Amino acid sequence: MIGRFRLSSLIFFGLALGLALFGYWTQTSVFEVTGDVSHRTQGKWLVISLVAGIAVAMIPYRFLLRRAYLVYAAALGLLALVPVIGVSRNFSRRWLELGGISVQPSELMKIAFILALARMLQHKSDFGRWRKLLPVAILLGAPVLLIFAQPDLSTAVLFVPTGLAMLYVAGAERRHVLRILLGGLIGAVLIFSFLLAPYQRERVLSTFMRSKLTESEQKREGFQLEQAIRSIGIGGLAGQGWGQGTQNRLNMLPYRHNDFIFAVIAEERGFLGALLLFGLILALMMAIFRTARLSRETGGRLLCVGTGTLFGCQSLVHVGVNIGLVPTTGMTLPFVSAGGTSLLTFSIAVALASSVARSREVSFAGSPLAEQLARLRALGATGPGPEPERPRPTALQAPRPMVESSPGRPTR
Amino acid sequence: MARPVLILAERRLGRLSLFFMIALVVMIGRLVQLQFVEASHYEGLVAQARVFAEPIAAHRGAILDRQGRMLAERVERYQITVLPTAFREANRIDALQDLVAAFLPELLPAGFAAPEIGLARQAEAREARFRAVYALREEAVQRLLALRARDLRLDRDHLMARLERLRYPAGELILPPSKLPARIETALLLLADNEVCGSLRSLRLRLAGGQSLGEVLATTPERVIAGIEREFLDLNRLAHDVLPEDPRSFWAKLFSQELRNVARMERGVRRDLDDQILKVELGSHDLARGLATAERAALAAELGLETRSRAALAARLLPYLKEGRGGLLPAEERERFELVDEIIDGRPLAEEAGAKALAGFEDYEIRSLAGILEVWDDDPGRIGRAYAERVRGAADFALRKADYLSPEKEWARIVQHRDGVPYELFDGCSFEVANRVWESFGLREIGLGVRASEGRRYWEDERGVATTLVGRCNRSGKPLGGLELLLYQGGESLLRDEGPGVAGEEDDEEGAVDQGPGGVLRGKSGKLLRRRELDRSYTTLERSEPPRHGLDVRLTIDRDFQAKAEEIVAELAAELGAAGGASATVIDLETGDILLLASAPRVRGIDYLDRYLAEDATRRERAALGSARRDGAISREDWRRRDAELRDRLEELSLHDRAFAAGTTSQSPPGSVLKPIAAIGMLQDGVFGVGEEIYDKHKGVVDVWRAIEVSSNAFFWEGARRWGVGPLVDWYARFGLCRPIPLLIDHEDAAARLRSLRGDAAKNVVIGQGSMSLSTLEVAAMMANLARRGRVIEPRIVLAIDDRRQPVVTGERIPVDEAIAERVFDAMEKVAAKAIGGAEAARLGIAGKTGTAELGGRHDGLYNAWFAGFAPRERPRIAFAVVAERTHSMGKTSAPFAARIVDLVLGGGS
Repeated sequence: MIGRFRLSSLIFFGLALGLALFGYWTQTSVFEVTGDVSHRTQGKWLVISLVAGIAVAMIPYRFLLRRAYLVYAAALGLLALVPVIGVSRNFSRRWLELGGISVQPSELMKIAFILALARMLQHKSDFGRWRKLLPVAILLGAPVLLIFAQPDLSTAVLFVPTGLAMLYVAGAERRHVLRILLGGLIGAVLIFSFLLAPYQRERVLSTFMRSKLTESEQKREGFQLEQAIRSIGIGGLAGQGWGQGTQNRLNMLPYRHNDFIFAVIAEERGFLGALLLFGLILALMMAIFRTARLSRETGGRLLCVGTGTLFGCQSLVHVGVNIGLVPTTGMTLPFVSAGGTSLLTFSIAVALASSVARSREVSFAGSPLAEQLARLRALGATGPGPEPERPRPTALQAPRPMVESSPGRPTR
Repeated sequence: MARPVLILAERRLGRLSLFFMIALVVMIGRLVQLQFVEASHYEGLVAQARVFAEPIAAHRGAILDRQGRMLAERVERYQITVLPTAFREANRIDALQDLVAAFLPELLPAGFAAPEIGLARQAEAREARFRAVYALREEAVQRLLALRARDLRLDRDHLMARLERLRYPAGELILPPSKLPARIETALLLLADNEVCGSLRSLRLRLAGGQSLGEVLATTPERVIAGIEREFLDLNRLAHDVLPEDPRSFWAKLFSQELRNVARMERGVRRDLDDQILKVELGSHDLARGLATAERAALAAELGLETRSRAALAARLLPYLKEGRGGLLPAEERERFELVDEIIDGRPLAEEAGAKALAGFEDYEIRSLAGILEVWDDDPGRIGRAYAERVRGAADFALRKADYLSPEKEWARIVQHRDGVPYELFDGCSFEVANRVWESFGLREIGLGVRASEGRRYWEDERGVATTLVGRCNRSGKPLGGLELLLYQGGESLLRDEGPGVAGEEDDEEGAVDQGPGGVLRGKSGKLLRRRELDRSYTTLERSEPPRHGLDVRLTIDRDFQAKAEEIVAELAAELGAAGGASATVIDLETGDILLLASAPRVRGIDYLDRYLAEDATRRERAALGSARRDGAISREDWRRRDAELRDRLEELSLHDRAFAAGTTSQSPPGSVLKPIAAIGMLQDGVFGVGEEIYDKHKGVVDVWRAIEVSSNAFFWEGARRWGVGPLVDWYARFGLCRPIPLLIDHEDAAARLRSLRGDAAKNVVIGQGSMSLSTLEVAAMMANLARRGRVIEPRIVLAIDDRRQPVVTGERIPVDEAIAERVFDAMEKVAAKAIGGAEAARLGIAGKTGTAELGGRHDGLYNAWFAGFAPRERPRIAFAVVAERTHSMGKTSAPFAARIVDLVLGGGS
């Protein structure tokens, strides 16, 4: 048992570390070309994140769950400080300088939100009425609005599938989920039409309706996408080699150390490298989901669903942007892209999943259902015989049913 | 109820996992599409993007004179570039310093340490002024940045709209130099308002060739300012981008004004530093202007010179002349910087002097300046004094040319330059310098590149013939004041889009004779295709396109005749006190070749610049005066008086080549030179009988021959009355008058207008008075057609292109009666004898006609003194026309000068 617990954590951290080292290796290629040394900063953050992750993994997740709202409030407070004392970079204000360290509260908010929502849905079972979902909406809406105002549309939007997935797995009614999806679509259309800046609209159009744009608009908005796709396109099977990617060396692709790092991987490592990356991503995600499946406790399950969905969605969006299936947006690839706060965030996320995996609530025989069935089979293995006279059970002795009875089935 | 919950959760987890797996499969599918199916397409695009086309300048054709001697030749200039990435290593600034030091001796002219101390000090003083204004501008930028940083009342929509217009196809905002004011504004607003910045999250502003502005802002604001400062150095592109309706353009306009001033001074400084130009100035006739012949002789004797030429006198006079001709600065600039001189000398400033410092500033500019200088006072004197004080502080800067090549400044520019694009360090080097740099610094150590480009050198002796011929245009290629020589041939522009050139080395901004693309002289640039390699070097590809070199053009002008003729007409203008200048044209009768086109004052590039700037300033002053009148600031009488003064000044300043352009602001009626052809027409058309006589109360009884000899107006008025102005004008037009001919520019098709005249105005047409305006080219062409007895050959100025002779272009023959023509010629011979002197006229065989055209209006009492004709009488070879404009003298006073010109041409052969 103990071995399995350690094994789960090792798998989590091993996969995460694998991704992080993959990313670090790619960043050295990028920065070697530009002459920058930012990958060293990433190295430092790697160490910090590893330590933080191990520390969080050691903490029982239930301890964190009980204090989820506190964490959420703290993160929300930090988020609220951004418009006031935040640092502006690249024409958006998203960072706080705390003691010389630059921190992006929206990243931390992701974890806090998952914790808080897991806490909220932990004991909730009745999702019959809409108003039952109101607290969820508030919990989701507050950070989304604050992050949207930074502006950071893509991060804000990322909260929605995360929350939706948690809600879905927590047992919300399908119609509610569908309505939320539909509402989201309508909202997206309204936002697109009225709230998005023209450049943001053009970015969406340049992905989905490129032919509707004029040639100059296509050139303008699609430049990064075009360069990213070219980078991927010339990767071939095995890539052009570390530090030998044409687009990388000639500095043709901006922001390839974070937003477009997948393009560099595909260019220099080729299709095989990209597949390896996908494999690592999928493995980590499935490992987290497996932990969710194995968890008997709703809170832990939802934590894992949240972290897995967050990780999966962000990875998909990043890759989707790079290959032109998603409108261009500044979304990092977890563990791989440069970005200290992002690395820390996902390390904590993986650590949370690891904490769930290490807990007593995770079944060692498989899913909780499988465990029950196994016990039932064990009890029925002796076969029928003359029934010995048994004393009539008193109320005190009456066994508690292990399995919920369903109508029509006899119980013991 | 745990079991359904668990089952539900498990199922839903399964679906969630499936969703992600499907998404991943889609990604993989897309990856296969990109990396395998479409791989070759992207490989082609990437390969294509690595190839850059560099232009290979075509060799420009030379402009030669009639004898094949050089007028404008091609010179090779070299451009030194470096690759910024190679320079960015910290130790490379040493290499940059060494490189700059290598160039300094080349760029500091020999004249800078010339024994003429006055000139050297003059150059230094000009540099001081340049630096003073430059420093003030730097100060103003700093203060404005500070002011803007405090101004939070920002119009977001306006900003976004402005930014939207600036976006370029890089997925980023690339701000090209031509958008400078908006770029400054954007940078300032970014500094000022992070909220606005916040709405531009994904936009990446780059200074043209620089780094992401956002990154720079986040770390080193000083670099932003340095970057903006660098852009300010792109002086010549600023003024066009100010939006008058934008209130923020107040300060932008201020900088436009200031930078225009700086640009003018910079040009002046450059010319000071050009040794060759200095020599030309030393040789300028202007230095000895106004000396009469006898005075020149006396001075020459005193100076021990054998020659009386103005050039030699001027050169010898220089040490005795006061320093600071000041001819390179317009008056307002001189005023302002005389003030600076006072400040530098430490003299206290009066309020009035302070107001002088603001000469040329407009009101709103003064208000903005007051804000920048924090002078909370409306008194221009106080504002001006504050401005001048600030300038004084700035004038303490070191005055070395090395400042222009400050390694630190160059370094700042280099590090902000775009990766992979060569940065132009120096342009216009000679081959020797380029070679020395190449040998000293190698090719790749600092990413050094040397590139040849084309330049122009105009043949110019101290007489400045070349620039007279090829003329000048302003920086945007627009001819000014009729000052251009479009080389037309046979009604078509031979050198389409070509414009005139400037003396000395060519400066593209000032205009060159072969401006337009695809012109005969210009040729067509080729392309050198180069591929960027992974190590950031460049490989030249074989499939480059060779250039199509320009062709040499040989003019019909004889360089020596032109030079001497210019001297003669300058003497003519001086001796007659011709306020409007003088000009002469000679045409070869056999071919229509224009052998010379002389104008006085001579149109030299340097003179032209001053004149142009002064003219520009005067026009603006006139416009401001008009505004003041409309606003009621001045009375009508004051406005009229002042406007008339400015108009007169404008006319004086208007610098045009009088030989082929009749001027845009002045009258140039031809007077009686038209009478010979009028006489022929009237006789042939039966207006007069051959022996018919008319009584002229001034000349007595005259017949047609006598009327020509004595220039009887009465006779010809009567003829005009009988014939009618219509047929008269038609007859003139057949001889090439009053209609556009290809060689002239902006010339009015006057025939229709003249035909519509009535009364005295119509009457005066026959005697070449009133609103007719002709150049010596037209009159000479008329005389040529007359001398050929009606055989029309269009005047031409291009003899050959690339050794291919151009055809002689004939026109419709004019029906001229031989006998009548002979009698007219006889009369003209007598006129010439009387005007020139019998012996001289006979020797040269000149037949001509004087013309004394009265000028009206504000030039009442002045005349245009013409003499035009052909020679030799028996077998005419050339036709000529000479005029002195706005003189008190009669036409015959031009005749001796015309005779000298004829003697020059016929004596020298053609």
